[in-house]
Parts: sequence; C-alpha cells; structure tokens
Amino acid sequence: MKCEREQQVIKATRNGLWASWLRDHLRGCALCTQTELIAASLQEDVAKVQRGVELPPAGLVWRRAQIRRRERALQRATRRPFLIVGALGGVYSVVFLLWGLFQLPHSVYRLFAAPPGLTGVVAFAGLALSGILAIVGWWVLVLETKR
Amino acid sequence: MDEETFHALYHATAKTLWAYIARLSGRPDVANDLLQETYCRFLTARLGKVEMAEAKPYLFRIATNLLHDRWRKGEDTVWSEAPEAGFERDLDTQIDVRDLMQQLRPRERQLLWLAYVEGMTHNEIAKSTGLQSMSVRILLFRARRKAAELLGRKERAVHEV
Repeated sequence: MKCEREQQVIKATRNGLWASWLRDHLRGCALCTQTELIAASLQEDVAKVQRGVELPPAGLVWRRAQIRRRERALQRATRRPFLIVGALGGVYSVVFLLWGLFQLPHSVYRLFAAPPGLTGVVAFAGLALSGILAIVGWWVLVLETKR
Repeated sequence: MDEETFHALYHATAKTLWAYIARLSGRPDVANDLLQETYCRFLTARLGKVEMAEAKPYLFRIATNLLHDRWRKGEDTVWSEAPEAGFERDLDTQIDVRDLMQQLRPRERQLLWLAYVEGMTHNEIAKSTGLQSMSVRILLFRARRKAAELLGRKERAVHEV
C-alpha cells in the first residue's frame, strides 16, 4: 500500500508549509494521516533532543581525524618493505616449486643411487613441504595486503 | 576537504546525526563516541570531492554501519536510555516518542527515522542501510503500521483520561 502524496506530506510536516489541497488530501487518506502522525511526533522529538545536546567541538573531531590519518600513512609506509620482501619470497617459492616439479623424475632417479636413507619418498616429502610453505607464504601475504 | 569546509559540514549535520544515533541506540552516552567515530571515518576515507548534499547520506551510512556493528555484538539491542536523559514528555499530546522507540526493533527505528525525520526516499534509505529498495518499502510499511498503532493507542488512552 502506497500513496504518491506521502513524500509531500513528510516534506510539509518538516517545513510546516501545508498547501490547502494537501490538507484536503490528508483528511481523506488514511495512509497519509498515519504518515503525518508519525512524522510529526518524530520531528517534534528531534527538536527536543537537539535542544539539550552538547556536541564535541568540530576542531577536536578534525584533529582526531588528522592524527588517525597520519598514523595510517605511517603504518602504510612501514608495511611496504615487508610486503615487497614477502612478495619476492612468494615468487621465489613458486619458481622453486615449479623447478622442483620439472626436475622430479631426474632427482628421484638420482636419489635412488645417492646417499643411503635418501629415497624418492623423502625427496617427494621435501617437495610437498616446499609447496605448503609457498602456499602459506602467499596466504600471509594476501592477509597482510588486506589489513 | 579543508578544515573550514569540515566545520561548516559538521555544524550543518552533527545535531541530526547525533539524534539519529541516540534514538537508534537508545544510548545518548554512546552517541558522542559514535558521532566522533563517524566523522573520523568520513575524513580518513579516500573520497573524491564530496559535495555537501552527498556527504550527508554518506555520514548516515557510516553511522548506520557503526550501529550495526554494535547490534551484531549484542549491544544496544535493549533500550537503556534513562527517562531523565534530556527527553521531556510532550505535555500537549502526552505522546512520548521515547516509549515508541523502545517498543520498536532497531531496524524499524532506523527506517522510520530516515524516512520521516530525514525525509529520505526509499532509494536513499536503501543506500544508507545497505538494504534493497523493495525490502525498504516492505519493512517501512510494517514499521509505519506498528508505529501508528502504538501512537494511536497512546492517543486514545490520553483522550479516555
């Protein structure tokens, strides 16, 4: 249910300027009568509420915002080197992981004939660990960037 | 935004914004903190050249988000404003809006306020609350019906006395 005059009724209640046709409409429209009742009550209340308010000074709010802005700028500046190192570390891990994957058959072959105790399973576990580290590194990097 | 422009904006909007926060949260003591936080976020946000007309809905949006954060944490869901906290009874109609607000849900208070005090359209309310325009229409209709019923009941009670 909607009346197209509703916005005009609200506006008239706010500025107190009632056109005679709008008054006539109000008498015959239950929805607008409801609107007028609520709007008038709320606006009367706002006027009362605002009368007793002691707001914080604008200068204080401005200074607080400036301090916060400076803190954020400083935070961004100090975070940048860490982000660069993190990004380089991430790229290095991925490149190393890819290189390892390409080398895998050859390394496994070599490890079988290499020092005792170093089997293909160990080499594969090492490779998996490097992969996990790379993923964790990227994840941390993404979190840092979002912060 | 330079300091002078901010002062002008603050003087034009702070009182209504304070009243909005105080009435929605039912906590005038919290309103000052949230008001300052709202303006701080507004000033530290990376905005383009904000015109006065655009700044007001944006400020209401920030304040609304701050209030939502409190509601999500379970704060201000129960009205805790003391009767003597600067709100007097209307001697003519005996309609105490404080009582009305107390009986409405936070979302209902918010929609009624934006529509009837700030005179926002459904689209503007949608922008300030993050709701869909159609949802605003339905929720506002329900809130209005409830508020009118409560106010009507009070009026009838006054006339009977």
